[in-house]
Amino acid sequence: MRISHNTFFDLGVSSINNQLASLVRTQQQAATGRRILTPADDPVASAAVVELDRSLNTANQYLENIGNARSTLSLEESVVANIGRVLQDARQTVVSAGNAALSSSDRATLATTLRSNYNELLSLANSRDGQGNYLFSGFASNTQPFTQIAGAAVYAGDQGQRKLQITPSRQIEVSDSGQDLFKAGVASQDPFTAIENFITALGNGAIGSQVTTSTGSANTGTGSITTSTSASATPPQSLVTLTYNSGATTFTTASQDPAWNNLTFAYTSGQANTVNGVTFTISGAPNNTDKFTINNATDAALGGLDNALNNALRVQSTIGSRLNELDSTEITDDDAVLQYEEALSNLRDVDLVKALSDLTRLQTSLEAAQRSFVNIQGLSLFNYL
Amino acid sequence: MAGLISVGVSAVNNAQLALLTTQHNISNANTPGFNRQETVQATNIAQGTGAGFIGQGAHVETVRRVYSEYLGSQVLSASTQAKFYDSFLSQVSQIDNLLSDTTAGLSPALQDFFTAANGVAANPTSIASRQSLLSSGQTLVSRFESIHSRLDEIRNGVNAQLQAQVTDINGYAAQIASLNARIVEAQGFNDQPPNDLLDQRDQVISQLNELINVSIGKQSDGSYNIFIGTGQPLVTGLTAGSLTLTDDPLEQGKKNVSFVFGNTPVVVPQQSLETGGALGGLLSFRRTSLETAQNSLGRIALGFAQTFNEQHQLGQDLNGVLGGKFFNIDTTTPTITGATNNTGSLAFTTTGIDAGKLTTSNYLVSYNGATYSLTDSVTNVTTSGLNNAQLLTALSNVGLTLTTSGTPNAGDRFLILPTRNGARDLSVAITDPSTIAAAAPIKTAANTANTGTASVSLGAVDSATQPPLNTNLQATVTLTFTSASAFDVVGTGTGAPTGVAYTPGGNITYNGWVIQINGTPAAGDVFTISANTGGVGDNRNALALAALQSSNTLVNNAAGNPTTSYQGAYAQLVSAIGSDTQRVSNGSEAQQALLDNTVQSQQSLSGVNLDEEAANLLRFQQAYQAAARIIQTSSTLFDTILGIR
Repeated sequence: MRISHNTFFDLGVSSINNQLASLVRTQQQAATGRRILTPADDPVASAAVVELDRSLNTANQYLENIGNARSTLSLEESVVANIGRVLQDARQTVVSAGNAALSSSDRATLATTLRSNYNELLSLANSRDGQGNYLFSGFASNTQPFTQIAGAAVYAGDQGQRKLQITPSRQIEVSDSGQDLFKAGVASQDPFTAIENFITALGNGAIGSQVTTSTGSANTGTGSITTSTSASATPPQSLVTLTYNSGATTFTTASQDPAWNNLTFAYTSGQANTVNGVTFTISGAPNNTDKFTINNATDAALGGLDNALNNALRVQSTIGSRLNELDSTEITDDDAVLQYEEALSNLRDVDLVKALSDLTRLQTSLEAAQRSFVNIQGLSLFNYL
Repeated sequence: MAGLISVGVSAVNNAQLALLTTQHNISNANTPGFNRQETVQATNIAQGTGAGFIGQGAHVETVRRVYSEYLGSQVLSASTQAKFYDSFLSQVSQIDNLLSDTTAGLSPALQDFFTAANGVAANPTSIASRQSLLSSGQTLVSRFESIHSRLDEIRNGVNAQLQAQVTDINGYAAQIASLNARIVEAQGFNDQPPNDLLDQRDQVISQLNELINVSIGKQSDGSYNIFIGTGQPLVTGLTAGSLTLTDDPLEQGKKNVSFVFGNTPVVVPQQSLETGGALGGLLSFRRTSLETAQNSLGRIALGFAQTFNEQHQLGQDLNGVLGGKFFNIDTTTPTITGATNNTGSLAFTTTGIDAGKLTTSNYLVSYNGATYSLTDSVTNVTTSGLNNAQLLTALSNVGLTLTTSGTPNAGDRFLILPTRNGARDLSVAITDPSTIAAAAPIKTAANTANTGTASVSLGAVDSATQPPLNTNLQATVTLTFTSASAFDVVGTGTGAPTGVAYTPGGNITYNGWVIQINGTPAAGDVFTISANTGGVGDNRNALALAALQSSNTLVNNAAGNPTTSYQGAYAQLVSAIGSDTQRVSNGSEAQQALLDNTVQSQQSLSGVNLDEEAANLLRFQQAYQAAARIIQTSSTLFDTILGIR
């Protein structure tokens, strides 16, 4: 084949150019550690990298959410544990008040102790987190959840539960509402009422003859109950429930104490009835199935506190199981992060050993191209003319 | 004797001509477009004598350029293709590089934004985390804007390059016309080929051809006619035509290549110019890759802003007010322009966008006096015979809820760019961090006196309810169980149904909210749904907003379900541009190799080989010396004759 003078130079230059381009590319790959320098290098892998990057980012976000959830729940757990402790303390005080030999000053001391328990419980129920948000007011985290009104603690929060996303499909609860924890206003569940009633009873004299009453929280009528006891009265040994029957206009009792079980009283508003020295009066307009209870003061207080304690323990154990779930989810999320990172690296990163060996190889062939070009271009017939 | 001298002289002349030609070859070895030349010698007519024909020496018939028309045309066609791919590649590489930047790309900004949204979910009352969401929203919006404006710069760059190329093309056309004139004149003079003029013209044509694919018509007088596009005569004999750029009547800022007939520019069908040349590469790039990139980006921006807004408007802010729009979408999105020569009064107004239905196409609406037709720029499918309502339905199927006013006249045209400017036209609507709607507008409560074991879910705004929200959404509604299996509903907007059957865990929906009740309720149990007053610590809507990052929200399939997330759509864009770049880069390499091959073949025939010329130099020098010796011999012979005394 006839080779023109220009072809020879063009070929030489273009082959050196091509070699140099490959060399620069490999050098860039080695320098950046990336196999894919622009999407054109591998469009499919580039798209996968964008998607994987998002998955990785989301998985890291879940890990961060787990961290947030753990710190929130840990704080709540410690507060609930304290609530349990205070309820235990109050329970012991109530038990010790049953001693008939107590003087009125002893009772006053016990009442003071219970008052401090009450206040501590109220302050725990109104706990705030590091940002000044109330822990137990549901969604209304700027609203003080419990306010003391005439002895009872009234709940002003809502029943909302905040959640955080910890896996693509799982939102974990990171708060509990005060209503769920304290059952404010629910008869024989609300610790505030139980303690308040017992403090009142302590002020009234020897605990043994004291009774406390309550009005059913589901009552729809306007009926109310009052009691008075004589010094020789025998209060019921356990809870007595009076249920109104509007058809017969009577009240019927139910109790574990045989002396108080299955008694029926005709109902006239304001009429007093006496059983074993305990006089009770129901007045107003009760509706059918409206309920009232009478109990001895100790049993009523212990019942309320035990139920409250059970509620606190129940909440504490759900917090515990949520914390456990966070731990196990964290492991899964950690694994996911590792997998995504590995997949990303496989797609995106250059094999450094190969890149460096390529670099040496390309360098050698570039040198060969340059040297041979210089050698050959020196050949000319004109040299001999 | 006289014969001997004249043969000698002609031989000297022949050798001299051959030496001149060789010298011309050597000195033009590096002249672009030069084809080597050689002298063509032929014997003179022999003298017939009784002793037979006596040779009379030789003469030079012509100087011929060693040139193959076939190879020449192959080089032309390979070079126009190579330049097409080169120019396409240099443009699309810019987008490719833009998308490859991992820190300046869209992904990091999107991720930061959703990290901030998760921050609000973790701390809904914290103004700091809300502020961080606002700031990262700003960053995201400006990231969209900066990528868009970079693409716009590329688009403007295309216009500038088209202008430069059109100027060059007109210059080359004029040169060819003038070379035509000189060639016709030279050829008429002595009927010998004006080799160097032919080389020059071929060289100018090859330069023109690198810009725009031309076809050549050869005339008998030696002139060439040059045609472009669909047969526009750029050069006719001695006359050069010209190209110019004109504004597109529909699309603002778009320049079309037009051919000047008389004094009137007429638009050349643009796609007919995409057959080769650098200009064709630019036009093709603008029509395909650039459009894909800008529309895809716009679709992500619009879809993102729209879906985020929709969810945000289902929430309630820190002040207890229902959520507004988080992002403002400029009212000029989608961009709808009527042709500058429209005579009717028809105008479109955008009233809504359906993010999932948006495409990356542009749409051309034209009216023929009775019905509309709608053309999709990507599929090139035209739907004709549409009345106004059908047109609006067709457009709503691609995500645009429009209304029309006025009436069109026959021939009126409108261009709809649904997503082109989507990334440009976003802004953050919220400035006060407390107005981020992290909470849900409703809350649920179980009555404390309930005796059953049923519990109620936290409740949510029914996701099927798009803004505007149900006006009774926040009205207090009570569900009172009359038995373990039925309940009565009381509350404004519910219609107060009684005896509604209860399914544990089933959705209960009134007034635009949805709740579930689980467990066994007792007769008399009451559940309340009411406004989420004071619910500043509620993060339900923030969770829903944060979850949008992983949700499929865009690119509906045939069944009408979204198939990809924001970043998924971005990945599609990256992949599309990556593929385009790869395809064009491969094409460019292949065409370059083809061009190299054909140029080699052509040079192999027509190029100057200096060694060969050196040998020729020796050869013709010797021929010259030999011819001179003939003259000397004849002179000696003559002297011999004269010496006879």
